[in-house]
Amino acid sequence: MRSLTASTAIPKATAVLQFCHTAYMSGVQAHIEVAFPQRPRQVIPISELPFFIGRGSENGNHLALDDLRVSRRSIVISAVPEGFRIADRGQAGGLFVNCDPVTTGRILHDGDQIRLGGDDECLLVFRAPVKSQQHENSFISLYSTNAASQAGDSHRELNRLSLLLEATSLLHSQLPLEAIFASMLDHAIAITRADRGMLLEPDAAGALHVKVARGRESKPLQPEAMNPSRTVIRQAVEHRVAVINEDLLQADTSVQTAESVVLQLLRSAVVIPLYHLQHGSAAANTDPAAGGELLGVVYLDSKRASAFSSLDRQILDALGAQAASILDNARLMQRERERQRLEQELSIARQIQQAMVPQGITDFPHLDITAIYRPCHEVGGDYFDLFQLPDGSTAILIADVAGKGLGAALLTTMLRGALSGLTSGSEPVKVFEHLNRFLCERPVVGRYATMFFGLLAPDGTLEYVRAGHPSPLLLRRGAVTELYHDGSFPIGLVEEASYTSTRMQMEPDDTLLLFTDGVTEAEDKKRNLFEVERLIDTLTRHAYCSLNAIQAEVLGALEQFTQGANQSDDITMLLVRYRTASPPCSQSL
Amino acid sequence: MTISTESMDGEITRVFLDGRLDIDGAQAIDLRMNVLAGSAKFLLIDMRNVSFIGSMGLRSIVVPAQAVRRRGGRVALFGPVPMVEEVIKASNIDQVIPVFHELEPALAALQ
Repeated sequence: MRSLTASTAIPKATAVLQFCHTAYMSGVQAHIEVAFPQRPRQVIPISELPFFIGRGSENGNHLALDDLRVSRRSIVISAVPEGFRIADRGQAGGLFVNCDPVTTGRILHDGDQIRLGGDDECLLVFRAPVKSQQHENSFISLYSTNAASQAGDSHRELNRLSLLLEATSLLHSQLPLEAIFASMLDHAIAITRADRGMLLEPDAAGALHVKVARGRESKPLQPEAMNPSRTVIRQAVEHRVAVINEDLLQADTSVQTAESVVLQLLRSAVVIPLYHLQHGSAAANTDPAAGGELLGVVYLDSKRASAFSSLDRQILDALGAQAASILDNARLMQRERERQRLEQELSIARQIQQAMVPQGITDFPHLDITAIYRPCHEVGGDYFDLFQLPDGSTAILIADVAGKGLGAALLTTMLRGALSGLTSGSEPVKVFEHLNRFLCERPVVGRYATMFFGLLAPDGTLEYVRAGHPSPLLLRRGAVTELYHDGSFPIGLVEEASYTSTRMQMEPDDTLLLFTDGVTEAEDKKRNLFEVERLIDTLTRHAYCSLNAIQAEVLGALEQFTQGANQSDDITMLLVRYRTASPPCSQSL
Repeated sequence: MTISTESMDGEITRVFLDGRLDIDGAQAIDLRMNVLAGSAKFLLIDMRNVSFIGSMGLRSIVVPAQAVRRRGGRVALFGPVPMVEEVIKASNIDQVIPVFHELEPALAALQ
């Protein structure tokens, strides 16, 4: 992709002049383009000779220009054996053709720039009659340009198109897709000088439909009313390559007799199939025949024969690449917006999911447990669970799903389902690896989770697996330590992630504090973070309190720290204190 | 959150991130990052001005970076502040995408 700065300076004046080529009617008539920067662009056929140009039609002018800089009797174009001749009739400041002053008269050539008076803006362009040309072989796969100047113009337009590409990539969320496509087509028409342009997109079944249609000078056309040459399109899509069909009337019979070609007097068409950019290798532009999914087709046609004869392969390839990128981006944007809308509508699902978090469980034989789950409105996706396995050990799970809304809520529900498989004896590490692959293979889910899963046996053996989750804190005889300091891969972020299981021994009265980063990343009004150090400090100071008291102290410390700043993430804390499986003697007596 | 890019020698695209990569920040850069994921060959993600990174923010960096790597490109993270680096390391992301605090070695790693 070009950098933003590289393509900013397109001379305004030149851009105005490049576009027009018209000979709709007969294909032979000469015409004048009015290219005043401040006026709507007009294309006026030279319908009568001599042809008078000046201010006001009351002076017998064929082309009346309502502009005070133009004299009433300005110029005249007349027919001479060599062609069309222009002469000054009294334009104030004189007449200039291609910047040369014209005094006695001058023969006009196609593309000549006619300036009236001293003002650079009073500009007309002469277009010579378009001669019909016969082609020996009308199906021409593309040939190189013989008009260097037009190639230059086309490259300027390509620059503008790449600017447009940059613009679409900037997430203009207000810009409707149709506007982006329309602008893309306008550029394509300007580059190729076609009469009209269309963007066709495949439906679910692969049939191509006209999505946006544009005429010259940014004129919107009804997509439903369009009847592009399907025969030519099919050729391009089948061969997976851009084609120019230069004179449809001379083309092979299948094209020639195609209904659209006959009915609409189409003479030439350009079809550029657009393919999804391949992600197989970093090398750009590999073999197009091996390309990916068909995104759509840019179709351009003209009623003039050989309208596209000076387009070269490079221009078409570049045009195709840019258009494909725009389409790709636009689709991405559309999907993203759709996703956001769904999340808003369905955030209620998350509330249901939150109701699934266990409430007030305390009756595990060798454990004391206190838990708090304080969801932050609309944000987060914390989840914890406790359940007993058949062998008498207790599973402890805490998870934090990235993001918010339905996606996070759905994922926690999915995690719950997947992890319940652990009750039937699956190895935790295998379950983690399976979950990771499952999520990575489905990037559309767009979510990942950090998790800590522990199995605490009645004899105090704790076997745990972690996935990017902050280390639980171990409170043992008044001192607080972390179970681990190094990192681990979250679930569903990196395909190649692997997990390990770690074993440690809990002692009676050991306490584990499991938490999510909503605790340590709680912010005060200056956006300082609570940090794990403050958590350790609070825990140390209240090491010998009951679990409920410890929880209350931590919440109090959080509240004091944040000073009423908005809670920005879910807060989940789980305190687990290990007791020996048989109740202490004092209680049994 | 703002994002801007600069083309450097050797087909390196340098992405400047500035602000908080929380949920909103992640949303603000996602589309641009996705475009880069599909186009950049060598990606230098300049994180010096990222003051905070949340879980969605991390995803906004990692997923496009992985996409570039899958296409055969390379990615380096440059200059994360301690808070950001901590999050990166807690998730083992530094084992997949190298983190640098000096520009020279970061650029060298991309070549």
